[in-house]
This record gives sequence, C-alpha cells and structure tokens, in this order.
Amino acid sequence: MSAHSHGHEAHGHDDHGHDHGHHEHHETFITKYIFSQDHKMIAKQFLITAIIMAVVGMGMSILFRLQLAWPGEGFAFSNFFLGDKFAPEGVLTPDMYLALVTIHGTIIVFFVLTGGLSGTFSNLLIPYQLGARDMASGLLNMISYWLFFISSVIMIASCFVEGGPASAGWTVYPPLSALPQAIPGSGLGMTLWLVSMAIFIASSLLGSLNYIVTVFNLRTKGMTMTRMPLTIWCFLITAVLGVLSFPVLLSCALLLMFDRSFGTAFYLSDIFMSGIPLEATGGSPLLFEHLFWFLGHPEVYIILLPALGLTSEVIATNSRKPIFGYRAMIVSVLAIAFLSFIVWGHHMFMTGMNPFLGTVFTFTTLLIAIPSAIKVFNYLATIWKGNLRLTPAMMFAIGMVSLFISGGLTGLILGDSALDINIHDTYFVVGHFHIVMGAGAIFGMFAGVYHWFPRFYGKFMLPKMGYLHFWMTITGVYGVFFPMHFLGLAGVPRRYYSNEEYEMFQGMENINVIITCFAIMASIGQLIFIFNFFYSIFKGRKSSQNPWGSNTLEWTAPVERIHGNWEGKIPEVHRWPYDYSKPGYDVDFVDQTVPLKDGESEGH
Amino acid sequence: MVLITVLIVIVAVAKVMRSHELSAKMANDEEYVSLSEIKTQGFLYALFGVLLFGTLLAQMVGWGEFILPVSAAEHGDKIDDLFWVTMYLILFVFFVTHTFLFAFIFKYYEKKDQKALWFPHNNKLEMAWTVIPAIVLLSLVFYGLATWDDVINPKDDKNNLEVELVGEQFKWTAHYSGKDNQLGKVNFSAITSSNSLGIVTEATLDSALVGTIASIAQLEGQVKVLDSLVEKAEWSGKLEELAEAESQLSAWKANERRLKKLIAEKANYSVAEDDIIIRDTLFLCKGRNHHFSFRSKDVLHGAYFPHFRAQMNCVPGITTEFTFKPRYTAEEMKIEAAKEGKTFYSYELVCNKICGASHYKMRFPIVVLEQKDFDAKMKAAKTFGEEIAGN
Repeated sequence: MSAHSHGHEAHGHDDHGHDHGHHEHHETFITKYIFSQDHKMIAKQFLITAIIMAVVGMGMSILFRLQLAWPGEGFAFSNFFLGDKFAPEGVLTPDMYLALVTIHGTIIVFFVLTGGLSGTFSNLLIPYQLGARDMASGLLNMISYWLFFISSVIMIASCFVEGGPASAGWTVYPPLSALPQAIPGSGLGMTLWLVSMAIFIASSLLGSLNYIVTVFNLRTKGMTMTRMPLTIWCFLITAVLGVLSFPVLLSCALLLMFDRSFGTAFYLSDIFMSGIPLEATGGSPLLFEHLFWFLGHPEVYIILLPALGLTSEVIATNSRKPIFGYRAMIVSVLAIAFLSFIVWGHHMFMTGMNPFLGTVFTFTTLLIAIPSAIKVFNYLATIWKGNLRLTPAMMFAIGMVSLFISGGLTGLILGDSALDINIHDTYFVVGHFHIVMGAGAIFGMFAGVYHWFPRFYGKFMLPKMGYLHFWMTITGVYGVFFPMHFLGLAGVPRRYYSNEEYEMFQGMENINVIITCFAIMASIGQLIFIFNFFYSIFKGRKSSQNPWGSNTLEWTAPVERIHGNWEGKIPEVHRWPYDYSKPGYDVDFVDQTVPLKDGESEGH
Repeated sequence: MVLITVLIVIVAVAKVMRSHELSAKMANDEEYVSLSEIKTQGFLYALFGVLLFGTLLAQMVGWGEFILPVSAAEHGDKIDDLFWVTMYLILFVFFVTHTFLFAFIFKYYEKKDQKALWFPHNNKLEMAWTVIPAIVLLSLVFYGLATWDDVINPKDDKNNLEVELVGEQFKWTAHYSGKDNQLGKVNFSAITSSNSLGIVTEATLDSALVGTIASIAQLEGQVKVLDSLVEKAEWSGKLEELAEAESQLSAWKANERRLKKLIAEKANYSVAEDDIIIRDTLFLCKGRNHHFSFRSKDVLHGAYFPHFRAQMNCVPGITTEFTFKPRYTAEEMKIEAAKEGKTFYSYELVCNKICGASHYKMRFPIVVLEQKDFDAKMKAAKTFGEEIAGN
C-alpha cells in the first residue's frame, strides 16, 4: 500500500460504519472468477464477454462486406466460416447475407455497446469513483452478468439452427419476422433471438436498478451529487433511460412471440402469403414500430452517454484541465436524456405514420442538437490551452469527439422529415449511425479500456500498439463510413445483397471496394488491440497507484484490487473531481480527498 | 488487397516487437509515454486532420456526380434546396469545429514547461454557444417543417391521377383507376389467381367465395385422412402435416366468414371493371399529379422513387399515400442530367424495406409518358373487366 492512501487515515471519518477491508475471505476459484459478486470481477467478465461478442460481430461484417465489394465472387474465408449450405463455393447466399446483417447489428448494438459498455464501466467505476465498497447488491449484479452471458450464448447458438438465425434486420419488423414462410430465419432462429433478447433485457434491468440505487445511496461522505465525476452522471442517467425504456422493448418482443406462437394478431393484418389469406387480422406493424423505437431511440443514448462520460473524464485528466462547464455538461446530458424519449418517430417518417406526427418529431429531434452542440463546444474549450497528454486513451477520447461531431451533424439531415423522404433506409443512414453511435461509442469504450486498464489489472497496455490500433481504427472508420453517405445520396438502399443489376447505380462499384478494404484494415487493427489486451494482462508493465495523476477516488485505492476496495476507512471527499492545474497548488492535480485550504473556493 | 493485408500485418508485428523491447527496458517510475512520443502523436493528429479534410473534399469532387440525381418531380426542388442549405451548414460546422480540434491538439500537446490554464467555466461563452445553435436550429426546424408541409399535403388537384401500387414478395403491381379515375375497392379476402390484387366487385367476391369453399372442402378431406392415420398410430411425420392442414383450414374458414360479411354488405361493391392492372412497368403521365395509394399483400415493403424524391412504406392492413408530379420524360431527363454533369440511365422504383431474401431484386421500371402517349397506353391496355371475363 502506498503512502498516498495511508494519508486518508488522517481524515478520520468514521461513518459508513464497519470496515470490510481486512476481512479474511475463503475464496475458491469458483467464487472468485466465476460466480463472483465483486464489482471489479463482474466488470471484467462483462468486458471480456463483450470483446468476444465484438469479434463475432466484426467477423460477420467482414463476411458481408466481401459480398458487397465483390458480389458473386467466392472466398475461401466465407466458405470456411459458413460452410457449403450458406456460402456454396464461397459465395454468400442472399438468406445468409440478411442473417449476418441482422445478427451483426443485434450483437454490436445490444451485446457490445449496451451490455458490454455499461456493464463494464458502470460496474467498475460506480463503486470506485463514489467511494463505495461495492454495488448495492452484489448478488443482483452477479445475476445480471450471468443473464447477460446466457443471452449471449443463446444469440450465438441461434446462428447454428437449421434455417439460420433471425434475418429480418436488427429491428425485426413484423410481418417478416413473424412469419417463417416469409424468410427461413423467421423460424427457430427468430424464436431464439426473442428468447435471448428477453433474457438480455432482464439482465440490463437488474444492472440498471443496481447502478441507480448505488449512486443514490452509497456515495461516500462529502460526495454530493455535484461532486460526482461526469462518468457517474452519465452512467446514472443511462441506467434511468434503460429502466424506463427496456420494459417497453420486452412488451414489444412479447407481443411478437404471441403473434408467432399463439395465433394472436397484434402486428398482423390482411396478409396473403403462399396462396393463403392468413387468419390474423386487426393488428398493425406500426404498433410494433412504435414500441420498438420507444426503446430504440433512448437506446442510442444508452449507448452514447456512457461513452461520453468516459470521454469527459479521460479528456479532463489528460488535458490537465477541469472539464469546461461541468454543470452545463450535466444539464446537457439530462436534456438529451429527456428529449430522447420524445423523438422516436423520426425513425418512422416514411412508415405510413400520420404526417402530422412527422412534424412533431422533426421539431423535437432537431432540438436534441442543442445540448449536443453544447457538449462539443465544452470539449473543445476543455482541450484549449490544456497540456494535452496524448496517451492512447486520450487519442481515442479526442477521436470520439471528432466522430460525435461528424456523425451528429448528418443527423440534422435525417431528423428533418422533408429530407428523410429521399434518404430514409439508404446508405446515408448506415453511414450516419455507424459513425455517431457505432464508432463513437466504441471509441469511448476504447478510451475507457486504455485509461482504466491499470485499474482493472494493475498493469499498463502497450502504448505503441495502442497508437497503432488508434490510427488503424480512426482511418478505418472514416474510410468505411464517409463514402457510404455518397452511396446513400445516390439512392442506394441499405440491406441490398447486391446492386449489380441496377443501371442507375453504375459507376459506384469502386466505392464499395474501397469501403471493404478499409473495413478489413480496421478489423486487423482490432486484432492488434486484442493481442495487446491479453498480452498486457499477463505481461504488461506494472502500474503505480495513480498513474495518470488523476483526482478521482478509484486511484486512491490500492493497485491490488482488494475486496471492499479500500483497506481501512473509505475515503472522504472534499472537493469536485476536476481540480487540475488549480492555481495555488504545486502539482497539476488535487485529489478529491484533499480538504480545501483556508480561503480556497471550490471553483466550479 | 492481399498485399495490403500482409504489409499491415508485417508492420504490426514489427511494432509489437519494438514496443515489447521498449517496455521491457522501461523502469517502473518512467513515464508511460514520453514527451517525444506525445509530440509525434500531436503531429500525426494534425496530419490526420489535413488528410481528413483533403479526402472529404476529394470525395465530394470525385463522387459529387452521384449526390442527388436531378429531381424528376416538381416538389423535388424544394427538398433539394432544403438539403443544400442544411448540407452547407453542416459542412461549415464540420470544418470549423474540426479545425479547432486539430489545431488545439497540435498547439497544446504536452510539453515540458507548459502549464494548463485554469478555466472551469465561463457563463458568457456558454450562453453564446447555447443561444446561437438554438436560433440556427429553430430556423432550420421551421424551414424544414414548411417544406414537409408543402410536400406531404399538396394542394387539392381535381386533375390528380389515382394510382395504387401493390408490393408483395418480390414484385410490384400497378393498379390504375381507369376511365372514372376511381380505384376499385380492395380486400385481401377477395384475392384469387385471377384477381391477384383482391379487387372487390360482385363477381370477384362470388368467385372468391366459391374458391374458398372448395379449399375448405379439400382441406377437410385432407384432415380426415390424416386424422384416421394418426388414430391408427401411423403418425410418423403426420402430426406436423395435420397441424399445418388444420391451420390452413381455419384460415380459409375465417376467409369464408369475411367474404360472406362483405357480400351481405352490398355497399362494398365497387365499380372496377374500367380499372387497369399493369404488372411489368409503372407508367406515369408527365405534368400530372399522381396520388399514389400504397398497399402490401404480405410483409412490409418500401416504395422508393429516388429520382422523384418520393418514398413511402407499404404496410399490410393499411393504405399509405404520397403525391407527386413527374416533370421529365427519360429523354428530357438525360438532357437535364447532362446540364449538371451527371449521367442518367433510367427511372426505377426500388423496394427499400427489408422484405426477404430477394429484397434486392424487388424493382419496377418506371416510364414517364407525355399525356397523349399515356392516354394511348391506357387505352391499349386490358381493363380489369376484360381480364376477369377472359378467364
């Protein structure tokens, strides 16, 4: 234990009662690594599961990108992974193409960027940064992870059933997803998809409730709401969004299960298929779309806000400057969260929804750009006149800001109902959301992994390899998703297996080849990350207790990651977390546990 | 491609080995990344900024011809104006904020004696960058909404041509209103092999009922046979067949009930003998407003007319609509496109909502005709009345 954390004993606060720090624990392999109730271990479990799922999701994207760039050409690579049934002679079948697109989206959106991102960093940082011994309920936390694990296994298993996995797009719009005779993937594959998602939602709810309770109840002495790091604010609001919106997705999925299995007609009406007029009448696919997007849009922010929180923390620490406009940042996040519940209709301008509703949703959607703009300007003001320590984490955090700007701006076009008429469901949409919430959130996650790796494992990741990973990733992201906007503006629809037969898309073949090349390069970059990650766990250089000169509480805990987080008393907080380069101090950071000097103001 | 991959892997491995050596050499108290490394990365970021701007501009020049084909519908100009206003605003903000971002990285990367400025907040600045975006966005909202209103609620036009477009896996069918410019009513219960759209007239309902009753009789027979087999315990594979037959039977019985109800309410009959159904091409009449009704027979489809700035989903169970006025024939369009340095090939309607394995092939050629050619085309086509009589 370093001298630094001994210092806290002097503060002598003794509330929060008993001291867990020195318990003798009889831990077996199973309680320590498998059914662990320790937030740090659960965070690692989430992270590693998410990495595995991300590899699967990314691999799928390469398989369908090969088809898009070189339609009809055989690849041994595709045949190796998909076999003769789904890739005869190495050429992807149209069925499997849609299946891959669907599962790629599902895995990345839910399993990597929702479960993986919140699960990893909320679990790691909420107790650490609030000065708590653990989550409010270790048991629920453990159950949350294991439900996540089970749902991941079911989702992967669904890829191996006859007929293939769900293939109706990650939004699984009925009737396509409800009727096996419409597409083979809507048979057992779709059933497993729904089961997996139901379990996933339960996992997400348990996690979110735990995060909320912990933030409200387990803050250490002196940790007022406005002394919480922005990471915690973002995790808290994300959890609230999840609790309010995921149950709606569950009801949405449940009604779809009923329609599929029990002959109800919530989403079905007037369908004539395979020569038979179906019995189900009276339902509407629009109901499904409303329910789905009522989750679907907050979901975008469930993905994005944790990434923004991590980015805020990494940028402030590595700029050696307080985050600019701390309170404005909190208010912006609250505003974004509130607005995210009343904009879902912008996914439905062209679905036959009443055009008047289109007016309302355009209005609310464009409003969301205001708090987003504030956040961007505040980030810029934070790095202005800073002393930017460009660690790999900082590189990714700045990259996240760049992607948030680039992807957010095209939202102004898609959110405008009149403009959506022409680009709805085209590659413009694909480019937009991959930049802003796909890559943007992944960048936030990478920033988090590089920055808190010492907190996870007591080691550093290799920095050079981190830089290489960063450059390959950001080049790949812009190389893949910028050109897609041009395809979209030319009218190329998304989810097309091939555009070969269309005269009007002539001359654009090269764009698809370029995109695929960048995608392959970016995935090689991710393999470098994976190597770096696992290599550093075992062989990385050991880190000191507070390697980044950070103010927040997680760096006052011993490197060893003991049960209960702190030996002896938990730390007491005397100031906000962003006193970097504060005038009157010799060092460029002032720990949250350091009391204010006489006459010093808290300064935000 | 393979070469690039191999090259990258080699570089990566080299980097791994080097950084491994470096990290092994590093003492525990040494900085994680050195100042010279940070300087390199700061320069690289600035270089990346230049490349990013450069490649974006190059893409806009090189691929600019693909952005928005010339609008072949009148309302398209309004949409394109709004698009370009928004696009220039976006590009402006993109370049300005990114310039700041890259410039700040380049200027303020960590140096030995550099001190960060204590600057936690500034009310004036924050107010400025709240109010200015708010004003800009609100203007954009109102401009956008005015355009939306113009496009989606066009003024009533007595001269509107009523056209119905029906999507099904994986083809389109155009249903014209014929002489009376009134579309015949439709109902999926009335669909038969000779009435693929389910147009409701006295004759079609009667024949649909006959067909339905025949299907019921045939399925009842099938169920009986299967039942007896199952009772004799010869049920390997028969249970699924039985369940399938029973569910089909119940679907046809429901259809019988619906048809009988439709027949009882005679008001549902419509005059549709003059309607015209065309299955291979969507003919449009230049200079006339087309009021499209969209329907789907099975799953969701998306009727997307990229050249006409029009799109609407086809939803089973409801009718959706969109109105637009074509203004150029293909020949004229070629000339208009050439004026802007673009190439025009042909008009096409594409499906833009995932609908199954052959989604990507669900297309419909569009031909825009002058009024007189259009009239001639309609005159020459078989009417629905003739079609069912011929059967």
